[in-house]
Order: sequence, then structure tokens, then C-alpha cells
Amino acid sequence: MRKILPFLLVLLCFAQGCTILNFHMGSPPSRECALAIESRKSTLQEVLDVLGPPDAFCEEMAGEFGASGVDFELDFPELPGARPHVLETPDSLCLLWVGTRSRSSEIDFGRGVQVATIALGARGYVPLIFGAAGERASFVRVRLGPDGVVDAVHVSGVPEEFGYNPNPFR
Amino acid sequence: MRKTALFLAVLIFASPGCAWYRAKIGGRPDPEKVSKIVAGQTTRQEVDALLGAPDAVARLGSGDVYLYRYDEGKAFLLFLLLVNWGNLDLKPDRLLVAFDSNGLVTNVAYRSDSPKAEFRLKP
Repeated sequence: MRKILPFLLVLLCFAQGCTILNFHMGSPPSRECALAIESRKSTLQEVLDVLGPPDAFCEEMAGEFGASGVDFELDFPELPGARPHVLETPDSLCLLWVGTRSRSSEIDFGRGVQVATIALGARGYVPLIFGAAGERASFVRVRLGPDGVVDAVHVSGVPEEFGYNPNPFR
Repeated sequence: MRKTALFLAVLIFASPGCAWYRAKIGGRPDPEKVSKIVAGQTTRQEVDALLGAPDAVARLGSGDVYLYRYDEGKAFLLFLLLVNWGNLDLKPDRLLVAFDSNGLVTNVAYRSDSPKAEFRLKP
């Protein structure tokens, strides 16, 4: 207890604070529903009946949407009245459903700690803020061929299994 | 009761404040207008007149596909003495309208999740 008290005192005097933010973006598509879609059999209407309208056309997303579903960024829609994205995809239609969960945490040590650390002889970079962030996405990607029948289905990630805990000290 | 009073006291003294935010991104497709779009009956011109330009268009050999998007987010932030805590909940409305090469609606799909966005304290 004695050891903790000075630490708490220093923290209270100098630390600007610890910030934890949680983001829930989009409605995660149901993995079970997506698995009901059959390649070479299901039609666009059947896909829409199962998953509802998509969040985007695949081509709109930045980066390549690989099978892992890791390398992508969520593209915010444009404001109303803005010029729509027009995608020339004569041979196939690729639809995407995305839901993400993310969390960020950071500890701001405040200028006081930084100055004190430098005054005590610290050299080089003295961090003012430690932070960490993580994101998990679940997506369903359905590609339809020119005949309007599903060509391929990709399902990845389950936000419900979102169990990580970003720790700025690790 | 004692515990609640203690909790409230700590909250009052330790919490400099809290904040609520609401974000609306895009124009929400009017559900009433959306219900007027019928596959096999409504034309592209009618959809344009009802809802205006879509957010994205996919041009297929067999016809175009319109995608309308609207997102609504609610954020709640709590600023305590040393800890700040916040949650953002962003929920979408989406509308897809597909046309054949003659400009007649072939498929319509609409979902409205934006009313489900909520100010939440728990992650």
C-alpha cells in the first residue's frame, strides 16, 4: 500500500488521464445467413432476402479485400447530393456487408511527467502519450456472375468473438 | 442505497463532465418513398424522382444497380478525474435498387438500422 500511494499521488498530479474509446460501426452480417448462400445456385434476390442490402460495392473499398479480410478500410459514404461513385463492372456484381468493432486506449502522462523525466536526466524521446488501438471486422462478400447467379461467397470474422483488450504497455 | 449514494458522490466529484454526440452521415431514404418502389413496375426515372441520386452506381451489362446509404451514430463520453470513457455506436440504413437494361426495377432491398443506434455506456 505504501508503495502504491506515491505512485497514485504522482499519477494524480501529473497524469492528464487515460482514455478508452469503443467503436461499433455497422451492423455485422450474420455468418449463419451468409453460409446459406450457395455458389452457382443463389440469385441476387435470394442474396438480398438473406442479407438485406449491402453496405457497399466491393470496388468502392480502399485496398484489396483479401480472403483474410484484414487489409481494408471502411469507406464513409458521400454526403447527399454529392456525385455518386459510378463503377463500370460489366461482367460481375460484387456486394459487400461489413461490421466492425474497434477499441482504442491511451494514457496521457501530461507535460508535467515529461518535463520531470527530462529534468531527471532522461535522454531521447520521452513519450507524452502511450496508446494502442485494435479493430476487428466481419464481412461477407458476394460476387455475382453476368447471369445473375452467385459466383463466389466469402465470409470472414465474427465481431461477437471480439475479445481482445488493447494494452498500451504491451 | 448507501452504495448508490456513494457511487453518485464519487461520480459528481470525480467526473468533470460527460458528453453526447449525434452524427448523421448522408441523406436518409424516406421509408414511405422506398415502399413505392416495386419490382417489375417502377422505372429508373421514377426512382430518380423519388429519392434523387444514389451514393453509388454499379454499371452492369444487364443494367444498373443503385446503392443509397445513410449512417447514424450516437456517442456517449464520460470524463472522469483520471479516466475518460467513450462509446460510439454507428448504425446504417441501406437501399439497393437494381434495374434491367430497359430501366425497370428488378430488385429492391431496404434495411433501416439507424434507429437502433444508441447512447451506451457499456462497450
